[in-house]
Amino acid sequence: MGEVRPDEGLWRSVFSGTQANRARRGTGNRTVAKAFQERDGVTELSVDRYDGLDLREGVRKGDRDAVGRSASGFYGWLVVPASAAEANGRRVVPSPTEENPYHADIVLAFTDRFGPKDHALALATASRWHERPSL
Amino acid sequence: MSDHAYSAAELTEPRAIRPPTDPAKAADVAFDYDVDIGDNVPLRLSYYAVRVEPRIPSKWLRFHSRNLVRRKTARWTVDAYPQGSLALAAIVATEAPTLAESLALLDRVGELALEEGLDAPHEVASSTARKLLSDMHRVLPGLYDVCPEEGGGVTLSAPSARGTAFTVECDASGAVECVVVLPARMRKATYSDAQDLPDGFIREALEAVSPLAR
Repeated sequence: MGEVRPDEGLWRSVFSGTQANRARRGTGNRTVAKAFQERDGVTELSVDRYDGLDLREGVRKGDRDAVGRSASGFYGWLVVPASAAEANGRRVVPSPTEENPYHADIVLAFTDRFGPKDHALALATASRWHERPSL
Repeated sequence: MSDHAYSAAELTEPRAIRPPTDPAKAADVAFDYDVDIGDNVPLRLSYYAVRVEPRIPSKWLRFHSRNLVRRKTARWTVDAYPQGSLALAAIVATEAPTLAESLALLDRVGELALEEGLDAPHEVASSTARKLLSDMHRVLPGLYDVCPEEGGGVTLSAPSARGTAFTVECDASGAVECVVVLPARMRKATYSDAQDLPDGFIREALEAVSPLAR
């Protein structure tokens, strides 16, 4: 899919009903930010590049991933513009695989000042909610 | 103390109108306004009022209808006014969700912690959050999100305009960490205790993210 454009959306799957409910009302809060936070030590956040694509494949992948995570379900995505994903020292790296040609990573840059929670909050705040469509 | 909090913001520039001078010819005055109050709206109800210059008795101006905040047009009926033109501006007065509603969320944060497999909120973190929630609600009324953290911490998220956020994390030791996210910048302040809070940083942050300030 080539380089990531600044105006491109990066789609982060949401598997928590609590986060989805909160995101429907607004994304600038800690509950939603948890969707952008991985376990300690992980510096890359998986996202997908679904802009302009038929989302059916993305929904099927989300549903599969939910089962793999033993999550209560796949609820939708938080879509963050690449330009915002690359703020505060973060980078966006396309990382397509054979299984998922749309995959990319947001690579976090931890400093003394800002850690995973702070990056998560910044990413959530810049994102918008996209509900899982029915298939 | 009232359980409700009200705030107001002017949504439009004053606009000159010329109401009818014939009492038989009341006129509808419609305002189109463009306001983006964000998704994270701390508002439950809103009422439109008008700022009228020069001041006139209210009998010459009456609400045509009360509108919900998301509508783009507010409409009033202006009755005959013998002195010529007026300037009107739309003002939204908002009834914010109650402080009690936010405190109820704080009371239920233990259930959320259980759902997420986290430790129950520590008593120190909860009491710090309770104090700060009440204090911050006086500065920026609205519904505060409450979220459990690892280690028994509690994070409060202020109501905020789209593209902004302000969180206050209270930990089990009594320490407090505040993060404000504004378009293209992020700031943080840490405190060993909440004794002197809310301080200037918190007040400024609340004003900066306020949905009604933008």
